[in-house]
Amino acid sequence: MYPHERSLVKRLEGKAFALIGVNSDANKAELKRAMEKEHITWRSFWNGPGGTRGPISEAWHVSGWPSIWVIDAKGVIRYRDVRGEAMDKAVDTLLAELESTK
Amino acid sequence: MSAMRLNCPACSAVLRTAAEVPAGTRLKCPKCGTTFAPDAEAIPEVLPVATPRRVVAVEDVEDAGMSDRPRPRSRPAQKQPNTALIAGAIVLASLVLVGGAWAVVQFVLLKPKNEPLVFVPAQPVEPFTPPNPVPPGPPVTPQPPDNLSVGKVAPDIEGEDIDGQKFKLSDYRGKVVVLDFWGNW
Repeated sequence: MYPHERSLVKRLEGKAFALIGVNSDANKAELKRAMEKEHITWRSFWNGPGGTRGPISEAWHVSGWPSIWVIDAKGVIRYRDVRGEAMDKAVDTLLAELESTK
Repeated sequence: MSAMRLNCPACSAVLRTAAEVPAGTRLKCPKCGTTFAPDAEAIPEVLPVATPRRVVAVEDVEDAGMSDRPRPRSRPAQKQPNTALIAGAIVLASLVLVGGAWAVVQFVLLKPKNEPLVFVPAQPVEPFTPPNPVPPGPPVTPQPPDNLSVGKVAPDIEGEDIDGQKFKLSDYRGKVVVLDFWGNW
């Protein structure tokens, strides 16, 4: 998962795009070490010490991980649980849409 | 005891003596009161065993003659233990029956007391029935609440990043956002 996201972030560098994580690791110290090791540079909300039962995942009714939500520039949910190429395609579609409305 | 049996010559009553009556002894019939000497011939007839053991005095003879009365009395007296035994057995049996019935009632009364106790913990078991597996069901299927479905404005997230810095999802309005719920496991 991480390699694909890394490549996506790198490919869309400078574009109107952001990868935002919601991390559900309960142990913050371990999480930091893992992020350094995996070169996870994008920003993540921390779901809190409750881990997978934290407030953000509860509010979004997320019970399976990973869970992907693709949101357009207006803040509207446009795609759910798109992986790999489908994720790339979804993001590209929304970026093109954003370009066309400018 | 070698009892004798003889007949009263006056009333022909059959008399029994507790002991042997030597020949010549006068006896008094307890029924008609006639005093008589037992027939010498009758004696050997009645005597089962011919060994005289005891000399019966006249007083004794009267006693011996009277022994017909005590005997009927003594017979019930002998039977009394039997009736007492029977009565005791009946009392025991009734006690056992009553006790058994009481025990059954106790058990019957105790069982309903115990059963509710068993069923009380059984009530918490109800949450384990399908109703629970069902709630986990909806989260398995995507998009549970309407505000989280595709086409809806995403709810804002206000939180902290790993370094404790506060930020919001709405900070990224104007950008295409991939929101990735992840965990390092």
